[in-house]
Amino acid sequence: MSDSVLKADPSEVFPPLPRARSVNAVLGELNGLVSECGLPNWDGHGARPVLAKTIRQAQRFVEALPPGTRAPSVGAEPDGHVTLEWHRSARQTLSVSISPDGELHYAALLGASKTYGTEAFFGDVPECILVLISRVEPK
Amino acid sequence: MTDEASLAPVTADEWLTRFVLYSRWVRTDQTVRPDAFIPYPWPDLSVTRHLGISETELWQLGQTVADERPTILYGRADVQASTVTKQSLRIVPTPKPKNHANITGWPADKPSQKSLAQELAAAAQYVPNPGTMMNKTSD
Repeated sequence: MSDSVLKADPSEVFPPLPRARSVNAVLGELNGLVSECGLPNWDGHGARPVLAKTIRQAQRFVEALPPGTRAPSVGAEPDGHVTLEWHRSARQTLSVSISPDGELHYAALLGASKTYGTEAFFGDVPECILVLISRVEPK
Repeated sequence: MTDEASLAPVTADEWLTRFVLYSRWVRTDQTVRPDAFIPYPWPDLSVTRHLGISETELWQLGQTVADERPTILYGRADVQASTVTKQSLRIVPTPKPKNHANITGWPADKPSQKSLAQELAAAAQYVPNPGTMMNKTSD
């Protein structure tokens, strides 16, 4: 390695990964849910408010995703859960709901098959959800 | 159609609408996220039947829902009754409001609800509100 490289600003030698921007964007969108869904009946059908602690759980989940993971899109469900979605097509799609207590309810359509379940979130993204993300992501 | 007539049994080829009052329920490709079909307050999912009313009347019903909050009526997610019953869910007409029905028979556990909601969303057709100038949607 040349001297000039050793003296260079690390951010020039190792520029931030594009993923970093995506994660920041997702974290920002999650913050926006407070104003979008923070009141009862935000959906016009009697929805429960999305709580700040649910948003914090979702942010922790996003921050725990391994580097290189495609950033999910953000949403909310009428029961007050935050959703993160990886979507390629109608039948190649994964949705993860995050509850205020940190439960992860997931469902995926993968061609003709489907899978769904619940995992607890303790700071690491459960392996089964990582596998589903990899199956939905474009190769 | 009178309120009594709207209690007529739902036929398989009938179309049902879930009004979309939250922009993140629609992806940028104008498809519907399963979040729109999560039943809450459980155990019912509120929909409007197309039976016997014009397109204009249908939008007016949606606008009434939006005005109650008040919020923006972004569009509607249309599903055919056969799509619903194929998932072993039932469609129960109610006397009021006009043309209203509940999709019932949902399982109590969230992951199962999500899986069914994904099936409905995969088959749903999104129709943007022609009266809304901007239809901001989620990724």
